[in-house]
Amino acid sequence: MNNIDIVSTFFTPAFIFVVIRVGVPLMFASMSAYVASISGIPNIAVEGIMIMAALFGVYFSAMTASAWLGLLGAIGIGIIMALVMAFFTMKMKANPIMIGIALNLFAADFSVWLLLVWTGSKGTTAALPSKVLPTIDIPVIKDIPILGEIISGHYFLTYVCIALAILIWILVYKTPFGLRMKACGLDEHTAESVGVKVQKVRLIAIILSGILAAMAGAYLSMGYLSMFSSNMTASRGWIGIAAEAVGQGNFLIVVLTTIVFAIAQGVVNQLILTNLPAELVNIIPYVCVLIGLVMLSVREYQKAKK
Amino acid sequence: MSNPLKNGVAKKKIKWTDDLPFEIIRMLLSIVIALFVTFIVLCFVSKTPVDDFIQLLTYPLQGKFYFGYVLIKMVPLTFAGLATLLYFRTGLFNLSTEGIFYICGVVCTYFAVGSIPLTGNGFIDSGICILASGIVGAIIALLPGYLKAKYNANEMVISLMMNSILFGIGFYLIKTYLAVEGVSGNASAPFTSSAKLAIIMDGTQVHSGLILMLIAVAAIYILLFKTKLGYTIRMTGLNDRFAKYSGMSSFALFMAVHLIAGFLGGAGSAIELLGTYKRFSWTQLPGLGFTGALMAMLGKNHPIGVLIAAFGISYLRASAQLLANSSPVIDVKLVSIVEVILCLLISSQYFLKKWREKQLLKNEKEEMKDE
Repeated sequence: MNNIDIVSTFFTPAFIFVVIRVGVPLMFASMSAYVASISGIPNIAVEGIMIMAALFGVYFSAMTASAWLGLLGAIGIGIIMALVMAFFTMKMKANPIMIGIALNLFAADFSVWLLLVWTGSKGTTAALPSKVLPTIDIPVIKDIPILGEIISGHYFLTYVCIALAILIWILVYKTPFGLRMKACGLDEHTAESVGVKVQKVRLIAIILSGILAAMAGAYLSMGYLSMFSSNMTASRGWIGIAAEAVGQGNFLIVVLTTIVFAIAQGVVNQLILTNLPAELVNIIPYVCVLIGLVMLSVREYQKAKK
Repeated sequence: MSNPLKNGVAKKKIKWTDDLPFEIIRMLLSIVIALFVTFIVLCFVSKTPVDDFIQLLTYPLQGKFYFGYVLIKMVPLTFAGLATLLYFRTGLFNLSTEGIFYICGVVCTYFAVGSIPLTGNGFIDSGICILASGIVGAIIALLPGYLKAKYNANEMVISLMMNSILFGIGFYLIKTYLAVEGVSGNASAPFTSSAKLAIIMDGTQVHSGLILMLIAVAAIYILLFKTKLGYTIRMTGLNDRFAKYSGMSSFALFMAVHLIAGFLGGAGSAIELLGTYKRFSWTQLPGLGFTGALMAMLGKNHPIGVLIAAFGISYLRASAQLLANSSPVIDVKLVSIVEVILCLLISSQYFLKKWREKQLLKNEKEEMKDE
């Protein structure tokens, strides 16, 4: 590929549109990991919640013939899984990492089984008459040349994602509840000693995390694609967790890291159309995440050495 | 573990509230709950839930071949479980066994399809394939190991990213260099017969990998409980500063653990392929590495525990897989219900804790009355 190609492929409004399109599930996943992590219970079941929500969104929308009820169903499943996580980590004192691993394994397998029972095949839900969430054209902005091309015409959940990102920033940095969340994450005993109800704060954070992850799943199966296919989340939840790890509690860095990963994913979507080997192109985002994490650790290491 | 003899109370009976019996009760109750929930789920989807459930529990006992199937299913799970156990014991949440299983399968295939001249001797040829896979696995595992040991990088996320990367590279290699025409999907040429593992039980598919599995369990047992390295591994898992004070650098410890675990993963992959497959045909991650994490959890991070867990899960999985053809609702994935419930309950410290405390209190009171 020569230089002219690169310019005409990557510096266009269409490319930025693609980046937003592929970036939304990553952003939901990052936010999901973030709210759980700052309140002290790392939720690594993001990937699993996404898979289950993606499947149940499709199922409920096919059953009720309504995309909105499908979305509600997906969120419901997200909350249920979050509650399981909360119950076992807080009431039964299990290690949240172990519970997360178990839930991820469960979701990956159980979703395939449900797929088999509901459709008779282990591949996709193409047989189910599921609905997709609508795309939205923003009235005035869509007519502005470049800006309109970039930010108008996305799925409903894309705008929800942007709104939630702003709301979470406000919640964490500008409200007393956000302060309590961070306090629980830093030291639960200290937080408790000054009257913070640690269990309650964490429960709310985990539920919020479950809802965010569920939206990521619903976005994938009821927007990005119009069906569920096995393993459709393709480690997106883990990329969110990696972004959270790079951000280390700073929401803006988490968001920026997610955008970098989204750009990598966007590049993949363009390169896959060329005749480069698809298997190798597909690993680009994961390599980016790996490099990001290594750079972070090396920086931390050098900081600690000084 | 409390030993009643040690305290001079030789007559003291073994009570259910002692550590070991209590653990056994917990396990059994977890299993009962897990199976009960599976039954409830079957009631929702099956027309004949009772029959299906009984079939699921007893099918492998109905024939030698079926039981042999359970045994061969155990082999990869045990290897993955042993590898993951070493990580978990050291306090590392590394899940890279999944990717290592895939890429080492590719390496094993390279040797097993006769890309290099093989000797024709079954023992040597399969040995070469298994060793080569194991060594590549060990080398690959050193990457997250080094990043963890030197820079304290988040090994879990790194290992998961590595899984996706290793799969991409492995699949590319298979597709580009090892795939042959005339087979559906992207599959390699058939393995050379001398590289394949021998069948050791007539009328079954049980192969010599089963023996290698038992050797591996014994080796890890000895490593963990009879060597200095094993002691350091166990203590570091309990307290991460231990390695530093014990005189062994945590750098060397982490590297050693990754090296051994990577080798186990790679060798396990080769044994699975040479034992049960005709050719390499994995077009996605096989899921065996992740199941290793499950085995380590269910087996309480003990080699013998992993062996038992692998048997139990393989039993149900084999049964479900054998029944999948005759029943529309039973599939190997159904077993995930049992797996998740066992995991959740077994990793819950407070599961049955109240009951135990009540019993202890009661015993205490009775003893006071007696005196």
